[in-house]
Amino acid sequence: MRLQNRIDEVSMLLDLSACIGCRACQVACNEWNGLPVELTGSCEHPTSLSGDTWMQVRVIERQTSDGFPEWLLYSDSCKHCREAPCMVACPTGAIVRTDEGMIVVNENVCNGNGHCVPACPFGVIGLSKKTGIAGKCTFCYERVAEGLETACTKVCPTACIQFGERKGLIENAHRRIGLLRERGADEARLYGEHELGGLHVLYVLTCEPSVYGLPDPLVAPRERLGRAALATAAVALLWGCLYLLLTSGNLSL
Amino acid sequence: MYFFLGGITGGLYLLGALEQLVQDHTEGGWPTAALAGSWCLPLILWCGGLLILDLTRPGRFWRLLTQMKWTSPVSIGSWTLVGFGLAALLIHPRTRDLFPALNVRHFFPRHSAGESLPQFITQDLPAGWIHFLGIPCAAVLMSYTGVLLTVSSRPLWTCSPWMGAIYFLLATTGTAGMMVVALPVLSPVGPRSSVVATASYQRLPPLIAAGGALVLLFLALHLRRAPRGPGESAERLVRGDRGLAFRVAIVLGCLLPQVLWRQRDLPFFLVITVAVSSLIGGYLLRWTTFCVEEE
Repeated sequence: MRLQNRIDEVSMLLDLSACIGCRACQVACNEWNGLPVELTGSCEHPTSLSGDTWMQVRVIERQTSDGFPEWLLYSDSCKHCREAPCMVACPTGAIVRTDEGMIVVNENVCNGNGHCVPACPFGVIGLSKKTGIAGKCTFCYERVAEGLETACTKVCPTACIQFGERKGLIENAHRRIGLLRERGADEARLYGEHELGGLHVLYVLTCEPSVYGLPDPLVAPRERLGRAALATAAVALLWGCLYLLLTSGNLSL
Repeated sequence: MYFFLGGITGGLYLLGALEQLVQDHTEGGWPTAALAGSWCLPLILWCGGLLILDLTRPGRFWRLLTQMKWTSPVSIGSWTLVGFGLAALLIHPRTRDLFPALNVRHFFPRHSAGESLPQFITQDLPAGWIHFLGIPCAAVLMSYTGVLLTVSSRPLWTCSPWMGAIYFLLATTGTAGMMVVALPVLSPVGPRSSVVATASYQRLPPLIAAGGALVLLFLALHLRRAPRGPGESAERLVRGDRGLAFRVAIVLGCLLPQVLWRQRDLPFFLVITVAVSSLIGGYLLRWTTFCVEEE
């Protein structure tokens, strides 16, 4: 699908009920971005996202309520959150938001301090072993800026990955969820519509987010800063009082 | 390592400042403040150096100071390091030698007997600004690692707001432990026997004991809220190889120091041994809680 006009807020929708785990998206991502191949010999290779692997198809094995094994296939990458914790945590300003709303790392600014890595609630960002700087999905911003769709969208054979204007994708998602529920997938839901202000990569899930390893509820890390600072200040004051008690001799030695 | 060293350095500054606040100079001098004055600057320079080397692109370290983001703990920490470094520079004896006009003798301004008001304003009052700059910076340095971990997305670090408090208390016990060992050897105030007899020195072992008890309390409060279950980081922390190191850390850093409440009944070498063990235990506790989520 080619975008004719510049769109301010594009998104991707991943309908995980249609994912067949072919990994075409993973290969396309590696090819377009010139990323190295990391082989592990298991059905997931590599086993996690990193600074050198920006898209990964995960295989989640579980047992259904009928006792039958089930594989859930989940194409994982950066969600390009509207309230991106990595961007908030970055002290150098290397992580920025493009005009289309994508979160990208400025490779010329990043100094590899790595504090974006634990800040991400999805664990999608890492430090590249090759360059030493933070690396993650860029949403193919250079393609999107030219009116093209992302590389993974282009190659997906089942149209599991859809690309376009956010509002339209959300409507598509709700229609799909309605259909899935009619067919017995009672737990089908949309993930990413409201979390962290809304994600630019939305997911149609067939069960609870926690089964896919997605945090639910999703709390922005910086929301903890105020409470942590207050708790620390209170204990520091308590310690200070203890010090004064020891000094005055009221606490026996 | 630089987080640990930074906490110790901040603790050293804080203990030195508090010593001057609560104690008159005639009560055996200010050995901790004197040591803090000499050592805070080289220690914080060492911390800064290690931090820069830890970056995968050390040449771009200056990028940390191109902006001040209150939402980024690393940005707050970087600027705190700068502020603390400035305070440590101003309180260093060599600075006083090179720039006598600064004449900063104290962490706090004190009006000395026989000193005129203009002298107080020009000589002692500037120290008040160092107090305002250095002490909050020292407190932030001591607790910074814990707050940084809380503002992340790792379950073990974020399950309660107490990590900052735990790291602050670990810094106080670590610093007090280091002072117990270092003061008799390095103190510029006087020989070992006179330093050990001072109220400042006598105050340190109970500080270690109290700090250790408080660390245990807040660690228990924190771990109560950690997610449990096979494979969860809280389980990995207390069991297996990591669990052994964690348990040793609890014993050395929190339980063993409780004997220091009876320091007057203990031989000197035992006080030193327990102080060293609390330092090791504190480091192990930081290492285990940090590394378990990095796996």
